[in-house]
Amino acid sequence: VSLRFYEHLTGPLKAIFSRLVRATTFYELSKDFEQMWVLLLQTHLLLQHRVRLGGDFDEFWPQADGVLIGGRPSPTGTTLQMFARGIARELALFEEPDQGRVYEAPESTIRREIRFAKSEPSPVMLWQNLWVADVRVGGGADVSALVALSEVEWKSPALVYFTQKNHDAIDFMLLVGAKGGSGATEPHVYMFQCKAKTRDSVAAAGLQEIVGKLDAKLDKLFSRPLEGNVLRRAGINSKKQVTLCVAALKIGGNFTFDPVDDDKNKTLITPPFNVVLFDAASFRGLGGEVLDTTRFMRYIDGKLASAEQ
Amino acid sequence: MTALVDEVLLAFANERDTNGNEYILCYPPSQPITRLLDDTVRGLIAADKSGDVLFDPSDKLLLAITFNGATTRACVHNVASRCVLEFLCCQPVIDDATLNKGADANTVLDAIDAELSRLVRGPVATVEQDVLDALDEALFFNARGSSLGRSVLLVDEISKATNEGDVYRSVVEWVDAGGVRVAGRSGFHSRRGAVFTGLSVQTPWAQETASGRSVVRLALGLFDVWDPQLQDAILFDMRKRPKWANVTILPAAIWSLLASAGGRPRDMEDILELMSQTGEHIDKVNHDVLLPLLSSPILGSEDVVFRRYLLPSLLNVQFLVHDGTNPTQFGLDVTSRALCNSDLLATTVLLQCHCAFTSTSRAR
Repeated sequence: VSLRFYEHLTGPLKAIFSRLVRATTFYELSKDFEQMWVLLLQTHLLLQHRVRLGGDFDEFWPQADGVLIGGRPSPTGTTLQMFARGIARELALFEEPDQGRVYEAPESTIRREIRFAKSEPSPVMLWQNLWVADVRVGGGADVSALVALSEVEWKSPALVYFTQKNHDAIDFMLLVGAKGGSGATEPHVYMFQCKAKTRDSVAAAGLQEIVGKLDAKLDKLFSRPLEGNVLRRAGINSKKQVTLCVAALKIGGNFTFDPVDDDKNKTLITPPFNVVLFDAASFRGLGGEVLDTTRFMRYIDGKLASAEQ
Repeated sequence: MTALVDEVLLAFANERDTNGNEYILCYPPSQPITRLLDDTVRGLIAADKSGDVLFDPSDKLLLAITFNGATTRACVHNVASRCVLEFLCCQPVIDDATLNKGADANTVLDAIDAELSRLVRGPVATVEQDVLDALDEALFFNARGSSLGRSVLLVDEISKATNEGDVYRSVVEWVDAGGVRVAGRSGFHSRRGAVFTGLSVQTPWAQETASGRSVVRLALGLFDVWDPQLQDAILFDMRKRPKWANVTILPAAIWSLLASAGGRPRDMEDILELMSQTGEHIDKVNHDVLLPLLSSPILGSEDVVFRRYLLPSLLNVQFLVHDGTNPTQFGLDVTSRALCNSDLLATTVLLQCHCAFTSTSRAR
């Protein structure tokens, strides 16, 4: 399957997909990995919006001149699962990783729903820095192809990309749920971190460093001085409303979320928020067959191959 | 799908009638297509609880093919080879000891040919359609009185043979040796054909057989552009253009671009052709120049093609059964690719294929 048809898109999907094609095709090894992840997620969100609410729904599923092609039924409704196990991509944003790569905090879950609004595809918002009371619109980042909004508001589903260099603890985030909502519509933030992608393996201690940094930032977020922060105003009041998604391309075979208990490191991995590790296979699944042979996927393959050696 | 395959068949039939050529069909190195073949064969051979192979003569698949294990000096897929042989002939045509010693190719193929002639009772067109439906590949049969006139030798994953070049040449010799006189046509014409998958030593670009048989490049397979042998083949092809006669290495960005074209030979050739027209030096061509090339030569209804292929691929839509009634054991993504490839061949690629072949024949 070729990427040659990418120019024949319409609407905001065209700009983001063109950017995705360029980035995956001519990917500079290891550079701007987080932007690639944002592009992939944004593309999928826009695709999902289009096939569910874009008006050409009936014609979407492939047919071959009267021959019924099998496969999953077409998706219905306006909701998309964030994570689901054993479910096809058209029904969930992510195939849920195996149990060893998922940690769910007590009374919390990674499995939530994205609800698409009919008139509004998912935007990307550019913010300077999340960890301040008065979050400001960012600028200067080379994200011209993203469907960017110059505002700081809770919008769902929206990706938020930070323009401050070396943004602390996370690289970008996805907002899910309704502002001030509860129950099924409770606001939830998926925070994405690429720091572990170049490591030879994700040891528990290494992950602890990432988890600890976010934990400290969330402590600050929930302190009184940051009451005016946009996440706080939207109803993010607990670490249980956060899922940390880590790009850990080379997960060691003996990795475990179980507490580290040796003489050198007594630290326990018991974060108060969810943690999901995305390995090389996760990214291959996210890219799909059409991106299979691109340079970006080969970079990920290389990480996977070296991990197996 | 049936109508589309008919178009392909008709186009090739017309081409042959017009030019009097015979074809050797070469598939490029392609893991998906070879898995497709494996799955096709295995999917139609049921096994009972004791492990004995059951054969139902009413099954549609009628293949004039054999796996490579039947050719001298090549014994890669022993099990698959036996399955095919026994499927076609209902009983082993050669015993284990003979097979292990390396059976003579002609002996095995003669047996298969005879068995096929006995099996096929319906119109030849039906046989053609059955084969095409089963494989989505252009294996062609001719009438010879009341029996089949053609044997097609399929050498699957020839690149895995210990001596690929020898195997390839022995097959070509076998094809050439099958020449007969055909009423109404001058000269000898072989009743034999060959299909290679995973051919790497002899590239589709470079090869022309001694007997003058045309090597037809079908876009049914996918190249792994990152394969060093294939990269050598592409460079070989590029150097035929005077502008690139001295090119020995390509920038990584160009391999990326070719890979993004999907690995289909004709897509890559289109891009190389367009690239040769840009006036840019091969070492200095930049992303801004390359990217538009990716989407430039598009045939057909773009939006439909996008929805049908690109979008399902990105969303990981999986196709299960595509022959209407009989479940197969196709791998899901393999089926998807087979559908895409065969449909693309019959729609967007066919015109290019036809034109390319015509120009090749005229040049000769």
